[in-house]
Amino acid sequence: MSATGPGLDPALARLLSRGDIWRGHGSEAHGDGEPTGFAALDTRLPAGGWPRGALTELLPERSGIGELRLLMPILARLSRGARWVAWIDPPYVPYAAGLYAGGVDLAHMLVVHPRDGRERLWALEQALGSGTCAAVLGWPGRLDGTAARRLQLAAEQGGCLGFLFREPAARDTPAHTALRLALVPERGGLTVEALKQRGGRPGARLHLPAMELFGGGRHDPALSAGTG
Amino acid sequence: MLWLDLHCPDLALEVFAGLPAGAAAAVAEPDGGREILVACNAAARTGGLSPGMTRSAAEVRVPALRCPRRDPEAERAALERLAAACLRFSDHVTLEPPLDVLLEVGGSRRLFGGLDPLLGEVATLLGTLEREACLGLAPTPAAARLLARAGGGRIETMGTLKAGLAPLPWTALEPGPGEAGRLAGWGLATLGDCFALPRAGLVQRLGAAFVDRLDRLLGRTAETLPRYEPPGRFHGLLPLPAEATELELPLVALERLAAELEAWLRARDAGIQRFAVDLHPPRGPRTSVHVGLATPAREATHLVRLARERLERVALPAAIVAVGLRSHRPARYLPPPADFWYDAGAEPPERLLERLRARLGFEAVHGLAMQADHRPERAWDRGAPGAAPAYEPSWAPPRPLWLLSRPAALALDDRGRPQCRGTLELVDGPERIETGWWDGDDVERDYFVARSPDGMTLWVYRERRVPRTWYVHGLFG
Repeated sequence: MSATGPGLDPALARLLSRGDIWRGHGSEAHGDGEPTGFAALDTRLPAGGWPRGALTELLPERSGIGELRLLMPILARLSRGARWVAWIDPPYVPYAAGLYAGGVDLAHMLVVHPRDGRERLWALEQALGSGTCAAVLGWPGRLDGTAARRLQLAAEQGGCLGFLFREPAARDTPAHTALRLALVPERGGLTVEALKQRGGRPGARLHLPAMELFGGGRHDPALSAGTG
Repeated sequence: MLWLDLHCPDLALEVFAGLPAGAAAAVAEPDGGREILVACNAAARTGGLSPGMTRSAAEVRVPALRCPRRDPEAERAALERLAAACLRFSDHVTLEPPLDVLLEVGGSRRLFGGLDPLLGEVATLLGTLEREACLGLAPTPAAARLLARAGGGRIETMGTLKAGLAPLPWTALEPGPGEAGRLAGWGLATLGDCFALPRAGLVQRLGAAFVDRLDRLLGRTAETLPRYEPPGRFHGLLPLPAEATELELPLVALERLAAELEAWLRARDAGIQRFAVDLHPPRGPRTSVHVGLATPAREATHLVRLARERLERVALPAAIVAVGLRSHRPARYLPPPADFWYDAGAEPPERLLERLRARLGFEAVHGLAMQADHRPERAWDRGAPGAAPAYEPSWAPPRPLWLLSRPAALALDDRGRPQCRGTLELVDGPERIETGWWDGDDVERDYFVARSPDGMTLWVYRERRVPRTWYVHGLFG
């Protein structure tokens, strides 16, 4: 279900897909999401963007295929606000130069390295629930239903966008989160498949071409031209 | 002048944190070979106990009685901490052991918008510190003291002082046995009766000291009271009602101490950046944890939360009999900036940072910053979270979002092309990075953006020096 029907004036469509516009009919399009920065993706997400105060699971086929690129517009925007962006147990070094080139304000980044799974979940819950993080990026590893529900509650409490990066195998486990997307590299870009979306039907697919995925940011022409 | 006396009748009990509120509890003091109760809580009084009773008699009546031994040092320290907290109401605070704190509020009442708001604040403070106190308010210190000890009272002006005190029984003056005998023998009942007697006769029969007390009461003789000078650092110690083997009881005591510390810090408009929590075993050295904060703070709940994270990770003494809280030097406190984004009650980001560091360790939590260095591995640094960037490049070349902490060498295919999950396709580059000759860690590399057959976009480089090895250094992620 799309938040913007066919034939709408683009300006009106953009207005209607904004997070603070509530539309009476079509409860799927309640639209309290944060715009993803990819217009095509926003229109396919039931919240009209990344669900706020909720968890989004991202299941990249492998790490490094562009899953972080997908979050660059939202990270760039949120990092300029008053709240922080926490990275809980990232698999590699979040590269300051790359984030900076992507338009992210580094002053609000918080990188956390827990020592084991328990500390990881604890740190995730703290960051999600504190109310001081606009977004939390987490690599939770194994996650059972109880833990997922706790994290979802914490995200609600903290009014925060929670992104959990998980193994592709997690697609077959029950989802306690608002959104679960599988990410597959295709033709240099990324194909996004909605495995579960609260308020919407699963199964929607969308291809984000490399041009769009790698564009944007502070100074982008070289990379997007080279990889497009 | 207007004096406020805070009389804490239950101080002997209150210094024992964690006594269950519903169960009978009392504090006993050795007296000769016996132990005498000096204070009882409400549940103990309901059970028929009262101060003055022997401990053995009390335990016959209420077998489940919790009855720790009186701790005069803790009481004195608790009274001092109350006095220190009262410095926010007045710059003239006097310590009156064993149970009273006296402060001049005539000068500061306007600051609080009147007497009632000020008394309301005092009541709030007592509530926070979990102290019961009777409040006596009067134009002379002696009258304020007397009213408080008589259960509380309020006389605001000199003109109404005499009339206000007159109906009280003269026993409120706590006269010695000889004096009391005479006053009773003369058939006197109230202070008013004493005021009415001719002064010369009173001096002759009861002595100058007794008359002096009446004079002080009415302000005919001025009293000079020493100002309480607070110590430069907070140090609170609370004995536990019973030996504790787990953290539960010590944490109750710590909450109480932290509330006192917060009041102490508020009185001087300060915060702290370091503090220590001590767990005292029955004998032997104490166990201490030291807690550091990113910015000066004073909110009791936050301090307890930080300390708790640390305490849950240390080896506890086999038994804990007392808990201490020591502050470092107070620092300038800046309230968290008002920001429309936060709820009014939301905590500042430093609190999250401190909680994470308290449990995971200082090094485990960091920020990100750019460095003015062309070597990719040195172009970033672990910054202080929340700190304004020290360096911001004017031009940002495309860089991957993930950096490998150490470049990984790549194999070559039979045509000499680098491989990673298949032969890599170089889609952008080279970008030559040749620098660092001045510190001996020089690099000479050609960087490329490469695509692997299975869809990963990599940042790879080839050493310009032989053997011209290929490495992967980052993922565009």
